[in-house]
Amino acid sequence: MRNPIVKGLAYAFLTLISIVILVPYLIMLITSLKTRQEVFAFPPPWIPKSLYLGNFGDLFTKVEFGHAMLNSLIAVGAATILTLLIATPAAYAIARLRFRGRNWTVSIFLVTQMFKPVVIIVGMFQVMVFYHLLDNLLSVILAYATFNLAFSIWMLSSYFQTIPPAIEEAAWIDGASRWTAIRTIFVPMARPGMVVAFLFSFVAGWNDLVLALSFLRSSQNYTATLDIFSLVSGQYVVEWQLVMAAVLMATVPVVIMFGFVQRYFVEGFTAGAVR
Amino acid sequence: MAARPTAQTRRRPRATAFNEQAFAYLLLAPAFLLALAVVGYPIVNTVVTAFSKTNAVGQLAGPAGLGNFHKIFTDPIFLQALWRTALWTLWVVGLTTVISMVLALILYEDLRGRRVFQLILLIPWATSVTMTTVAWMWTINGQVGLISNTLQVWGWIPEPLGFLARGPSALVVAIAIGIVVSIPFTTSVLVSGLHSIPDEILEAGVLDGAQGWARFRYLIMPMIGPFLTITLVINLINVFNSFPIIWTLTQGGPAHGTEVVVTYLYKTAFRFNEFGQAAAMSLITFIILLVLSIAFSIQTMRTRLS
Repeated sequence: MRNPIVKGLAYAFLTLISIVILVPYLIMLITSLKTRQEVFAFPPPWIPKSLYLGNFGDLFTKVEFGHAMLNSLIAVGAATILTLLIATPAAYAIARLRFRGRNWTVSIFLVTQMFKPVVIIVGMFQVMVFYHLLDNLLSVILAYATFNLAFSIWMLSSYFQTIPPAIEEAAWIDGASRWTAIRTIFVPMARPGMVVAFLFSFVAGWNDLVLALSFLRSSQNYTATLDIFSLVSGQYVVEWQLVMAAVLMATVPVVIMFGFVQRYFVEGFTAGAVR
Repeated sequence: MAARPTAQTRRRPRATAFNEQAFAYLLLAPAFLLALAVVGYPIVNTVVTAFSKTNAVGQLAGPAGLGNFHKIFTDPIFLQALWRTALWTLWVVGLTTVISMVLALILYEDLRGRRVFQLILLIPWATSVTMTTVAWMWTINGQVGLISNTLQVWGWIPEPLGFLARGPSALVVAIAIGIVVSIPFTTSVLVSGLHSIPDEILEAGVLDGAQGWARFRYLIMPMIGPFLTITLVINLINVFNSFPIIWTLTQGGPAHGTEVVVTYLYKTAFRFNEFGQAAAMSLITFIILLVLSIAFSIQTMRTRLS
């Protein structure tokens, strides 16, 4: 790109897109640091007079957002651990073992990727009624774990395929049982892949709206995303300074987490393209 | 994902009591059971419900034949929602693809500040779509919003912004948010597609005088085709099924003006308690997704064969 006009246009385009992307998040940050009077003042000040941190305190004392964060942490944490416990052995089987129906298994899990929760929400709701799990965090735990399963198995099995089987085989020859070889040699080598799968499942569950919205009824069971949704929708007066503080608090840790694993995410999708 | 070569298995002592096949099934069993209980069963249930009458709490109340399908296909709101879903999907996926392609071509160059932009892209990608939508709602808010009030003080607009008060403008806002949250993934995949092109090809192209559009059309496009297909398939499925943007923004309103199939499906089930009709809509959505996926796999196979 040696042509200065083209270069200028490129920078202009990047700047424009950056502004469109960033402005809502900047306004979120500004608003979360304003007092209620500043937010509802006319004309509204762009820069808050002082860095007011009271909104973050009010989240815990006034709207019990801390409880929602805790619910999210419990539900998403449990779901993610469940995903890993179930996806790791399955991915190992797909990556390492020869068995009848292997290709079938891979396709079935890929097809479930197509079913976004909202499309089968009627059936899922009926099933949760049947299991007596409505308004119980267990309902979203099971649902998040299942919807993360396909991607985790897929990602883990392609990661496992990069670990040379020869190392495990050497252990068998040294007299280790299959199980000992998996535990002492394979699992430590597979750990980076499992960390990535863990973070992905966590972010996906943390960001869910539709499952929590359908299964959780009483506000003491709300997850963080559902709680923020309920603070905005159907309210006559929205306390925007509180909402923005809540969004900020629920988002920043996840964005940082995601920053670590985003690279693997793209690799996961593009691995299929170059093959 | 071809089967592993048998060399390594031949090396293994035959006498071992280890049954590889049984072990594999044992390892896969929990995944299958969970998928069956939480996704498989609901899918079957949805299909059965689509052909049944239902009561107010969603329990089955006898067969309905094609009654539910008849009802939804004579419901003008559903038909409009179906059409709007097509528009919504095409606009979001189309504009996302074009903008991301331009961004990818820019980011592929060795520009200063490239890293900063890639960090900016990370924010809408990692943020929950619901949260991003809430931030946008506040940004374009008419009553107390910063932008609206500032523009009014400057006298640039006569009255407060009211994007969400009318269907068409609310849909435009939804499409804009849809594009913003789809760009990061799409751009990243396309950039790694560009990086997968061997340098020799582009250098040979420079010698042959391929520049600008010709370079893009005849050198770059064929090489990143598979990457483009992946982003198209994934974006199509995601946007077609996208619920949180429109539900958070308008819940399909005002007056069904932003209703798409998934929001109407949700409303039909949980607001109107018509679970049979909602299940019928689910089934229609399945079929559309299935046709889309099959069409794409055929297309991909064809491009790979040729």
